[in-house]
Amino acid sequence: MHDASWSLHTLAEFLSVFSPDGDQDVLRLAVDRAAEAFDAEVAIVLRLDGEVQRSIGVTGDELAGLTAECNNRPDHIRLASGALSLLWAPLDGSSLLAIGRFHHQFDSEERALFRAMARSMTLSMRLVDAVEAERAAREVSEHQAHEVARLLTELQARTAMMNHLERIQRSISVRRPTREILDGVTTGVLSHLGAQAAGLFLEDESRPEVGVLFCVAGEGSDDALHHEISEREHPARLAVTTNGVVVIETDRAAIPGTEDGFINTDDGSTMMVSVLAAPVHRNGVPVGALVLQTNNGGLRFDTEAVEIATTFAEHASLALNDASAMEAIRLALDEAVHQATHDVLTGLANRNRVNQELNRLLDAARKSPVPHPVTVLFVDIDRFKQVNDAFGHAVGDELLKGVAARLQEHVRDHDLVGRLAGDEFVLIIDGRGLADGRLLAQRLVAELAQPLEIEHRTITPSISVGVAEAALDDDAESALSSADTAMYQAKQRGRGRFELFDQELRDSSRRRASAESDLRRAIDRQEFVVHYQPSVRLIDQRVVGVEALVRWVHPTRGMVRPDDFIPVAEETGVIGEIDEFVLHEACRQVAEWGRSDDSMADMSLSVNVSARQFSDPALADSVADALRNSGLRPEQLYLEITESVMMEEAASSSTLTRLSELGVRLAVDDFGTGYSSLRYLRRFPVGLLKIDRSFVDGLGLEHEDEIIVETVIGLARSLGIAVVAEGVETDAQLHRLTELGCDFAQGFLFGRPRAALELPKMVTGINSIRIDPPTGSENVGIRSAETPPLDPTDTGRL
Amino acid sequence: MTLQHLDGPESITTEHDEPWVRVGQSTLSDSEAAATAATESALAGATARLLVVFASTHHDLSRVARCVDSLSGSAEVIGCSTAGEVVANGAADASLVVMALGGDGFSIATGLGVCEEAQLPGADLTSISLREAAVQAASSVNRVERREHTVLLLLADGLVGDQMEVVRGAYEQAGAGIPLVGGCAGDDLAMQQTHQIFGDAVYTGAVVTAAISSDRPIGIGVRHGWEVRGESMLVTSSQGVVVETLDDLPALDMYLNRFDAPENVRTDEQAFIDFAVTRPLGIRRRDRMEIRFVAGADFERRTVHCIAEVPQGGLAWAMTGDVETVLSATDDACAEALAVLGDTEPLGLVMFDCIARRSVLEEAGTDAEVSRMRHHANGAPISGFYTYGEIARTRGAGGFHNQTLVVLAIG
Repeated sequence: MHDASWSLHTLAEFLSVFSPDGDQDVLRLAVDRAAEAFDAEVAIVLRLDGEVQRSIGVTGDELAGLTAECNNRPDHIRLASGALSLLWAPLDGSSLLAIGRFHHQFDSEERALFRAMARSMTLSMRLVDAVEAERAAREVSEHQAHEVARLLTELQARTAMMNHLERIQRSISVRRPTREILDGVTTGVLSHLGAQAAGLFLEDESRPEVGVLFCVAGEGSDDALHHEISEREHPARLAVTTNGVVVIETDRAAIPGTEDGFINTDDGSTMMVSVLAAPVHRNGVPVGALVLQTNNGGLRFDTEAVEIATTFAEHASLALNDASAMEAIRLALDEAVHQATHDVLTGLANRNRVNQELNRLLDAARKSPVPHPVTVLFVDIDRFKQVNDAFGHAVGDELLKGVAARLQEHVRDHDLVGRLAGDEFVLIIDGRGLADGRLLAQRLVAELAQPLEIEHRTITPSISVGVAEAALDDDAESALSSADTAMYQAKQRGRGRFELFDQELRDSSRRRASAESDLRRAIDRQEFVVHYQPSVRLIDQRVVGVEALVRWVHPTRGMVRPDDFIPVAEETGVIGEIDEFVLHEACRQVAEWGRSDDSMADMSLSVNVSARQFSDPALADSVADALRNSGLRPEQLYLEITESVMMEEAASSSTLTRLSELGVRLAVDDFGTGYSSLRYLRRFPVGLLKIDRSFVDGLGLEHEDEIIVETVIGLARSLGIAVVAEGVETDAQLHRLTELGCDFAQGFLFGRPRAALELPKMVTGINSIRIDPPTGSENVGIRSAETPPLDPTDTGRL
Repeated sequence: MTLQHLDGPESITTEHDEPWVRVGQSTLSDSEAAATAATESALAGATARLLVVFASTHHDLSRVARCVDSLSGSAEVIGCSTAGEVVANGAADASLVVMALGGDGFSIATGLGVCEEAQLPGADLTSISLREAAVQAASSVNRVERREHTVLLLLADGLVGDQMEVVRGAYEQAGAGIPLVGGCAGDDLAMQQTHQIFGDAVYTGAVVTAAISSDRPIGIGVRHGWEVRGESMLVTSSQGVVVETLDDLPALDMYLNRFDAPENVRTDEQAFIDFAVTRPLGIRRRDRMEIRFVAGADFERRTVHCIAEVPQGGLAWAMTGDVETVLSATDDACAEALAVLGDTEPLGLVMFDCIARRSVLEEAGTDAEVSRMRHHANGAPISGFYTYGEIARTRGAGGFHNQTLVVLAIG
């Protein structure tokens, strides 16, 4: 029935019996308690020469027979009463404590406990001697007073140490976390001996010749959980191999394995150190050591210090003898190391580990005499966010795990697969170049497109893969960045595919990097301006709103086309700041127009919102700010997003709620070109659908386009949403749209987008003319606002 | 008021050779009359070697001792006060029981040791003295004529000091070869003072022994029947028998809470004592639980007092028992004792049963317990008493028990 906590409690009880008062019959206590603790019939304290000082259980001939064996210290002896199993332990250098039991042999745990008890007794006896010595001092001469004071201090220290040991017992008994217990051992021995640092060293069972030093306490010890020690001559390892206490006093630099962290000195100077390592046992076998270090001639490790250190080491041994504690240490160590380097969900290496490993491989590759390529694959799960949103995070997690498992199946054992974050994975292929990476990527894209069964749903994932062979001077970060760029390219080109980071990509990525810095500079120098394009209501051909468009007025290049900088801005994230600027500026401007001109008081404003901005949780706040600062009424403002953004980069529901609450609506740009879910139209506060220009172009030419336009208008009408036709360039388009019941139109027919200064005049111009449907002829050329106005009284058609 | 002859089949013997055991009991209220009746009944005219007296504190023990001794002939006499007496037909209070043991197969020697300090009222007893008393009393083993089987029977004063010291002292004398068996005298739960009888004199704070050596085997069985209740508590501070803190909290509070003590128990000392009788503590030993009887508490200091050491640093548990567990322990203890006898039929069973177990059993349960003992005894006479502590050492060095049943089977 007994287990490790029995032995610890027994030791604790044993310790508590001995008080430092000095008026106890210590030997009597020893034999009584030792026998009782082990259910042993016999207990003896005898001098090394065999003279019995105290005994119970056997007398006369049997006792004599036993004491005769004190030099041999046999494990058992046959007496007249029966066969007696024996345990022996030294006491105080001149005596022995022995216990004997008739009915049961002693097991290894009991042996360990007995040793500890004997040692504790030794310390107690010394304590008692110290008290005796103090009492014996009669004349309080200066010398003796000093002696008394010293003994008293020693007494206090020992009592404190006993208390500390007892505390350690207790913490083991109540199952404090193992780390805490062992910290108690190292800090305890440190405080009692006054060394500079203490640590617990344990051999790693799975790796011969290597051990780990942890639970380090004291000066200069850093927070690292463990330091590996593999040098055979390190005192800690010597203590294990020799199963004895090792004390070394030497130049610090001469002790192998201490440079790495047992004690760190800032100046790296050499100094004299003393190192003590006392072996720690488990089941009688040395498995590690309690290590102490002191610097520059501080504490000397004399006999007493060795004694004390050994006692603490034995306490650590008792803790380790607790099988579950040992297991817990091992698990905790493994766990800590694993957690620090692996992703919890998938078990793959985490970013830290990936970086570490990649750097290591790149280093090795650089040093290799023959070319040694290292290829990185960057894998991203397409539309992962949608899966999460649609099916919940549990399914999302399972998808991640499924993908992780599949990725692992396709690499060699020593290739690393890691999960960086979210739905991003990395594969590091050592020793293979771009061509092999390409083949692997191809295979992965195909294999991972196989459906997965997750919680009764069939989910068919798709991945975008970027493949990059690391350049010679690449570090982990740059190698990953290259693969990331290639992956992004794969996404740009449609997803579910792979792209190689080749020279072209390298160049364009460089260009992009420089474009990015250009853009940032442009923002700082306020080189961006807002132009406005009017939107005309078809019933009365009056301007009812404007769309705000960003323009870049480069000091040397002049006006930069949006196509030339918007994509880069989106890729690099600079678009966010540009969007902010446009939003605030446009709101300000339109509100100002409204205040100064009644005819523009109700004008609507469409501001383009990028994918990034739309998914930014701060969007609602930003919009609220812009409205508040400008005084624009919320119902005037439309946030324009493309259809594909609406579908893919779904804003959080709180953003949508807030926008609705504000009274701001959305305009869906390029409608008809993406994959709309009608549900999204209901779910989002959409106020406007903008028919893509491609359909407007086909009016009167492509029958299907006309049907589409008609359908969209009908759909919008039935949903109570207004429709704007984009890219209206001809009168015929205008009239056809009017016939079909489209609400608004935008396009070069009414004029190009203008700077703020010129817009009011343009609006007046548009409002003052009327474009009538053609009579007879088909294609009428473009009429612009610059042509002379027609008769305003001509009502024309609807 | 009745005279009882309690004879087992084998105890109807001649005075000469065969070993025998007989038990007499009297419920007479007059001490001398009761003593006379019980003794004569036990002797049945024969010459005994040993008389053991279990007497209720209702009686004047001095008169009892003198009376028994006067009738004892050449027999040695020891005895003690009780918290209830036991014979084959049931448990009783305020009665007087005499067990007589005789025949050529037995050798007897008795011993006495007295704790001097205990004689002075209010004296603070040190355990050395108690131990010395035990050492002295146990010297009887040195004086008994050794036959094949020897045990040392002890009767001690459970209200004086750490009873473990009694066992240690006795063991010091008896050694590994002689089992120890016995119990602590009681005083009907008054917890004031108990008495021990040696010859014609009465003592308190004493240890009396009878070394019994026999040609036939003698068995000892020990069981407690208590079970753990709840989680362990660390004995964070204790001084000998006084438990100061458990899990760093005042021991009394921990104890009361652990057992869900009602209000009156928390404030009234006697109520606490009554409550605590059936709610002992358990201490972990190498391969068993040792039970510690909670005799009282200090309401000021919030400490709990046992009658044997509760070692600091050890783990303690609240223990609980019910009729079932107590009775099943009875069976097991009897079986263990009888197993030592092997094929030999028991001449008599002597039980040293903790008063706490009786309190759990109550009347119906007590009857059931004695009934089970009768069953095990198979007709042999039964005697014994309810104790404040039990002694049984068959192996190891310790042997003091609480809340336990110790059965001595005399073969």
